[in-house]
Amino acid sequence: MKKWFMFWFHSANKDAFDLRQYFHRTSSKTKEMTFTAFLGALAAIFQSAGGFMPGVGYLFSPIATAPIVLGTIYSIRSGLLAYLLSIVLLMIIQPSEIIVFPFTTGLLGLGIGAGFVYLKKRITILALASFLLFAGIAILLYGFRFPLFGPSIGSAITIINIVYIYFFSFFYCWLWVEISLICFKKLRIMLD
Amino acid sequence: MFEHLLIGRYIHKQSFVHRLDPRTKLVGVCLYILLIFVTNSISIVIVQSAVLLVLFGIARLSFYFLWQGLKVVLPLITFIGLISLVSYQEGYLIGSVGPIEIYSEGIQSAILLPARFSLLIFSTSLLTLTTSSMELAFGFARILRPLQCLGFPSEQFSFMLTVSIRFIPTFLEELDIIVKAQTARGSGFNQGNMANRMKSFVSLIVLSMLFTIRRAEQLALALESRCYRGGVERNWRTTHQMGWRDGITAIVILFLIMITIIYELQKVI
Repeated sequence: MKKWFMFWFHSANKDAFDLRQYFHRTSSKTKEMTFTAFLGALAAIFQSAGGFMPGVGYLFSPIATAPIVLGTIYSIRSGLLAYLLSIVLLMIIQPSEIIVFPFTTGLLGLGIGAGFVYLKKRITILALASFLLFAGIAILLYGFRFPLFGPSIGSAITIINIVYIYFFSFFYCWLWVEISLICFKKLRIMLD
Repeated sequence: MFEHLLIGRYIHKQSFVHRLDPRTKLVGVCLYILLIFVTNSISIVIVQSAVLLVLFGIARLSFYFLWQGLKVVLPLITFIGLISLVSYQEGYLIGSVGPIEIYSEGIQSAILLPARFSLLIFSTSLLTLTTSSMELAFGFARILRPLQCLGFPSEQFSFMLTVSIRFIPTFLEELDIIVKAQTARGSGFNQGNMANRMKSFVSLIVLSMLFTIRRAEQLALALESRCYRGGVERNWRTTHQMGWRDGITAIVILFLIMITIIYELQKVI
């Protein structure tokens, strides 16, 4: 029980903090700009992979979250700029992804990144990121009437649908938080 | 692997649309996208499609580009259409195929959603086919300039846009190498159990991030050694001025806005 409690309520941002320290130690205005530009490009490439690599490419689309997370770890400003840059780049290279990226993968990246910067505990990071993802999905599903989940969840607003979407968002965010933690650890070791 | 991606598909011609100011094209496309998502009427969508087709004709672009843009997402659009057809159960019942009932709202959505999606792709394609990346960067810098007073770095944003467009092919090559190397080591991205797939993706993320950090450091060093200072406003090699063509385009966009508003208001009244 204590282990379970510790898992959710223990600080989870040590590696993210170390990575942020590394960035700030070696940072300059020009480096921040080039880094943000590259992260934006990378996010756009991953997100648009489904379009130019039908089939296997769709597996790469969720990875578009990672560059935005790293950008937000660098600074919130960088994360936001990388996010906006990716949207503009998607408009140029794969317009069909403009609807999905800003409300799902991109927004999730911002949420997780901001969670690692401002919040400590795993549960609070997850709460912020999952709320943002939930809001993004709701906008797509109920605002744009985009059938994100296929026929399983329609565009009718019901409590069951909302609960399903939130649970899905929470689980997906949890997966991404764990992946981010592994990546931060590996990246920190490689950079050191 | 990534060779099918068309980047910066600018086609140089001397047409009315090509000669438009990039700001007009950017604002026009943004408003157009807004309009296609605001309307729920098939007749308005037909008018919007007609305007876009006329613009494609004026731009003297081959309609092959329309097909090229569409064919990538055709399965997705078809899927969205079919889902809309069967999932909407509003309006009156038209007929049923086995257990699936088809309603009037379903048919309308099955037409509207794919049409919106296609028009979104066509309008952005028209923008990128008639505007070079430098013009796009200029357009964004000028449009976002008023946001500077709120702290938004519009000049830096356009610089980053130019850099990222330039480096997309390099990134694609590097990613191709990483993916091939990972596959050669036996870590397939679309085979094996969930844990193995996750490991492959984590490796891809870490390596691509490492590559990004290293490249960014190298480019920043190269720029700074040439006395580049980030965050300082810079001059543009070529600037653009609005003219009569932009005026005509503004009138066309206003016409589209007006008919959409009038039609939607009529429905409310």
